[in-house]
Parts: sequence; C-alpha cells; structure tokens
Amino acid sequence: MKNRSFVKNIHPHPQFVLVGQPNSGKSTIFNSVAGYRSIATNFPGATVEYTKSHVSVNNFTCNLVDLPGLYSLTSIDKATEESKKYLLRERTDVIINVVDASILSRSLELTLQLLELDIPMVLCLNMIDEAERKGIHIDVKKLQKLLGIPVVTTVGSKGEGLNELFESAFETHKYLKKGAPLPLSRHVENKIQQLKQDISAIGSGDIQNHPRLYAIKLLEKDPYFQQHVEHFNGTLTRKLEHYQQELSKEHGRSSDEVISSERHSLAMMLFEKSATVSSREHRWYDRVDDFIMHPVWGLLVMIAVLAIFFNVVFQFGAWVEEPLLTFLENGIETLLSPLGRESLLFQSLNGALQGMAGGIAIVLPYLLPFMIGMAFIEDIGYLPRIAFLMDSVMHKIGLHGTAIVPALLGYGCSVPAVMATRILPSARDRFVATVVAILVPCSARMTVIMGLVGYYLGGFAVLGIYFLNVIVIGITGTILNRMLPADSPGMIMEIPSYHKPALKVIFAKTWLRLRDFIVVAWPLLVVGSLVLNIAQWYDLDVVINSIISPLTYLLDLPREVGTTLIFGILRKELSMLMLFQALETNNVIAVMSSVQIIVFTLFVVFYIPCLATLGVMSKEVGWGRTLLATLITLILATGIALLGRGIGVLIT
Amino acid sequence: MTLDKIKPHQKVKITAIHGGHNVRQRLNQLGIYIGKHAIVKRGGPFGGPILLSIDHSDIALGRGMATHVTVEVTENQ
Repeated sequence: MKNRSFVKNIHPHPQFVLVGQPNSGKSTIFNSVAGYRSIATNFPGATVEYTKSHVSVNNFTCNLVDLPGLYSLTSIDKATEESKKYLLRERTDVIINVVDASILSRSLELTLQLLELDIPMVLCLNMIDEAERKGIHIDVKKLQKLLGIPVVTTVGSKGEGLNELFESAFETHKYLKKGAPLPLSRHVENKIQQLKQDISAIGSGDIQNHPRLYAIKLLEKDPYFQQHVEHFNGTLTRKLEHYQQELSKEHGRSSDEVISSERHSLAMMLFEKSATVSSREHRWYDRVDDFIMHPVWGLLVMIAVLAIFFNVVFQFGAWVEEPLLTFLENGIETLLSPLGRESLLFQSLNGALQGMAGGIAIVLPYLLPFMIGMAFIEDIGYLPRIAFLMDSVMHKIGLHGTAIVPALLGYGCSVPAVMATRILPSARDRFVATVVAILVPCSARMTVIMGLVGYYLGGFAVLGIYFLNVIVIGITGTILNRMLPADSPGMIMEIPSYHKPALKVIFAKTWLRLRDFIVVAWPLLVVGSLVLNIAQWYDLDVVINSIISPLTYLLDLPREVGTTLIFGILRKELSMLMLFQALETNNVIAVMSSVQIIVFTLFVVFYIPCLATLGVMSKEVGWGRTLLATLITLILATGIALLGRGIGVLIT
Repeated sequence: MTLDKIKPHQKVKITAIHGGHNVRQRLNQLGIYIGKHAIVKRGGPFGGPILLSIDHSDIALGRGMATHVTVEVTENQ
C-alpha cells in the first residue's frame, strides 16, 4: 500500500498568508472569511499595516494574514519592502497567491518570484468571472501542471470557490506540497547557478535559506538584497559585478531589465499555453468609464460625486442628531435629578453620561454614513480614477496623482492617511503629502464642522469651510513645493476595472474603522468628560484656561474654551463635546456668537494633529519633521482663525 | 518619440526605456517592457497623465514618467 508522504506534525493552527498584486481582491477574500474580530497589525518597527484573523473553514482553523499588495519581490517603495521582509522572516505555512485572472499574464510574474521562496503555495485565480467577460478562458488543469502547484478559481466578491480554496490550502499544508522554481533561459540560468554557488558558500541566515532567490535579486540589483551582501569580500562583489556586466553586454540592456524581461516572457508563455483569448464581450461600462475618465466630464462627475457624498452624510447626520440628543439628554436628566445638582457625585456622573451621549448622538450619526460611503468609493475602484484626474492639479504642489490617495483617506482618518504616504517614492514627497494629509479635516473634525457650524449655521457654511480648507492646502503645498524642490520621477499607477461592491467587504471595513472610535475614542470621551467635570468642581480648569487665555483672548473666544482645545489634541471630537461640557450647555449658540463658532471650528480644523496621528507621523517622517509639521498647523490655525475673526468683525 | 508626445488612440511599440533602476523597475512591474505593444487610450485633464492599455490592463503614466519610454507608432486610428 502506497502512502503519500504524510507529515504528522502539522501545525494545529497553520498560518496562511494572502499575497498578491494590488487590486487582486485579496482583501475581499480576507473579509469574506475573517471574523469581526480580525485585527489590523503593524509590521514590527514599521507603520505599514497588515490584517490578521483567526479563520474556520470546513472544520479546519487557521490564522490568515492579508499582506499589502505588491507587484514584484523587487522593492520599489517601503510598503512592498515590508511585505517582502514578512515573507522572508515570519512563519508562513502556505502562501495563497491571489491573482486577478483577467490580467493573468502580468500577475504570473509575481507568482514566478513567489515560487523561488520555497514555501508551499496555492494559486487563486480570483475574479474568474471578470476574465470570462474579457474573453479570457483559462485551462486550470494545464496551468496547474505547468506551475506545479494547485490552482483554484474564485469569485471573491460572491464568495464562490472560497471553500475549495481553503481546502486546497489545508491539503497543501498537510502534504507540504511545494512548487519548484521555473527556469529562465539557459544563458541567464547559468549565471544564476554560478552566483548561487558563490553566495551559498559564504552567506548565512536568509541567504543560506534562499540562495537562488538572492542570486536572482542580486543580478536584478535589488537594493534590499544588496545591503545584505555589503559585508561580502571583494572577490564576490567583483564576481557579482562581472556577471551583471556580462548579462547587460550580451542583451543590450541592464541586468535587472534582462531578468525582469525574461520573467515577463516566461509568464507570457505560461499564459499563452494555458489560456485562450476570444474577442471580448461588448460592455456598457467601458463607455461609462470613458466618460468618467474624460478631462472635462470626468472632473465634473468627480465634483458631483464628492458633493453628493458629503451632502448625504450631512443631511443624514443632522436628521438623526437632534431627536437622538434630546432623547438622551432627557434620559440623563430624569436619571440624575434625584441626586441634586450641587454634588461631586452628580457632576461626575453627569460628565460621564454626557460624554457617552455625545459619542452616540453627535459623532456616530455623521461618522457611520461617512465610513460606509468611503468604503464604497474605495471598493468599486473609484479612488485611482480620482488620482488620474487630479494628477496635474497635484503637480501644482509638487506631488503627483498618487498623492491624492492619502489626501482622500485623510477625510476618513489622518492615521491611515499618513500611513498611506508610504506609497510615494521619495522622503520629500512623503513629507509634503503628510502635511497635506493632516490638514485635510478627518471624520472627527468633520463631526465638529457639522455638529457646530452645520447644526447652527447651515450647510452652506459647512461647504465654505471645506472650500477654504482646500484653498489653504493648495497654498501651503505650493509654498512647501518652493522650499523643497521635487525630484520624483512621476506617477505610475494601475487603473483597475470597476468592481461590484461586496457588501460584506464594505461592512467589514466600516466596522474595522468604527470599532476604533468605539474602543478608543468613546472611552476617552467618557473619561475626558468625567475629568473635566471633576476639574471644574475643584476649579482646576480655571488654571488651564488662564494658561491658554492669551490665545482665546486673541481669537475672541470664551475663556472656558481653553481646556477643550487641550482635550482636542487627544481626539478631535473631544474639542466639541468638551465644549458642551465647558460651557455647561448643549445649546452653544446661546453662549457663543456665530462668528465665535466659526472661529473656534476653523482653529480646531487646522491646529495640532491628534496624539495618534503625531505618533504615526513620528515613525513615518521622524520627530524633527513632525514638530515642523505641527508648528505649521499651529501657525495656520491661528492665522486662519484670526482672519475669520477679522472678517466677522467687518460683516457684523 | 517618447510616450508623452503620443496623441490618444494610437497604437505603439515600446522600443526603449531610459532612467535609473527605480524607474525601470516601476515600469517593468506594471508590464511595460521593451518590445511590447500598447494603445494610448487618452490623456488626463490639463496636461495630466496618459492612460495606456497594455496586456488587458490600464496603466496611468504621469507625463514625467512617460518621457522615460521611447516608442514607435505602429498604427494611427
């Protein structure tokens, strides 16, 4: 009786890692199987995130990791470098290589590189329905045979094929099925073999584990791998240079291009052998896309989309806020009135409950629709189109279209926005984009704008503040661009096909972001309100207010506002909710004039980023530049708020 | 001729890629190699990026990046 080589000590909770090019639908697959407890984790020592979850499929359980997308194992920016490091260093039992089946030929270039890692692997042909629509028919069995690894077709957005995918991954893990690297042309292969022998004799650690990968990547002049061999002796360095020169002499292009072109040809060959292409189905949304990407119509569509989006958020929020707030206020009143107003207990409980109510009634009604809408825009694939349309505008501030992505994410939260600057190639671009990202009013500041200015002064005033914000960002960017000349080569970005939004993904994304508010910001709100009320009981707030009084005096704001600005640095929403506490009313207009409300909001929109953002910034651009950026925001906030006060004096 | 000078709706063949390691690799990773055929689909607003269709995918190339790619026009449409 023949047994297959069964490995007994398989891990009870194997670690599967989703690897794929950007837009291949990894996250859709991840969110379809991951539970609500999935967590976003930082790479050790870096702020680039990956998500991880405990997953059960067909009575098997595993840990599933979703790495940021990467086009190749040759790193071109920091995000891809982190994914690569993860694959080389962390425990990976099975790689699930997710590819967009409708662009199979290019996707296989990454697959070929992953095969060099010598880790059990499954190929997931995702969006197979989209490939069929494009007229690409893939012979799965043939591809499986050519690559030597299991191939499974899926439609991630509908959950089709996911059971089979995970079954195949468990099988692969159980029998430790690894694919073998596919050879390049004989001539290049000779060079790889020679170099492999040279370095495996001398290297250690990662190099010993992956000598072939190292040989290839060194011939490709990959800076990450090169820094690992710097300590090598002169003979080996000379040999490496010799091989590189030989390759480039014989092929008429640099050695890195020789290898990537060879890999491209190999991928094309695999594609042609395993797939047939027929004329594509006529598709109505090709014509829609022509319209959406049009220089004139496209821009108008974009403005309309964003205007409608913010309008819906504002209308919905305002509609829910008022009745909900009144309801909760009355509840607190009835609950606490037996205690008598003049006691520390009443003040503390009142503070805590007011904070709780504020979170539910004033922040959530705006935050929830915003998060859903943002996830929707992200999921259908509209963001890269905005980047395409905005490229030349972004050039005015010395950035290119790609930098619109962190800026737009900034409308959600500054923390992921600052992290997203990692997709930009140079440190200079990352700094300018970071300043832009933190100046964009995040959803927390949006609740302040809508809850104060919108609620008391109406939608047009809100629009005015957003418009002013864009202008200020433009001017700041232009000045920064003058001070720090650009040197980046320009934008290159894939414009993916539209995807039908998967509700599960949208809700998973919304939940992941909302949870951050519920578990981090909300408790802070409650504790903050409590602390403020206790401080007021002992008159401590007077001390803080008098320290900040020069600023509040300058801006003609009530003195009590001082403490709220300090709380606002913890979390931006706190500045508004604490305002209600500090003024001891939820009807701000009774205590502050409309000009004061605008001045306060303007200051809150532009001043110092919140603590979490500062933390991320310090990791991304260093403390020096973080302080510089903070100083810029403080100067801007004071200047603009003063301007608002001046104009207010003139017109009233 | 470099790619930034090509008008929309023309078919081109890529004949050379100029620039350092980073530029070459960024282009290669998105499927832009010497010898490939591509279609210039459109230009972006106000001298913005060009949209290149290559091997079933659409790539937006900033004008600066496009100057690194030399092409010959194979078909006028």
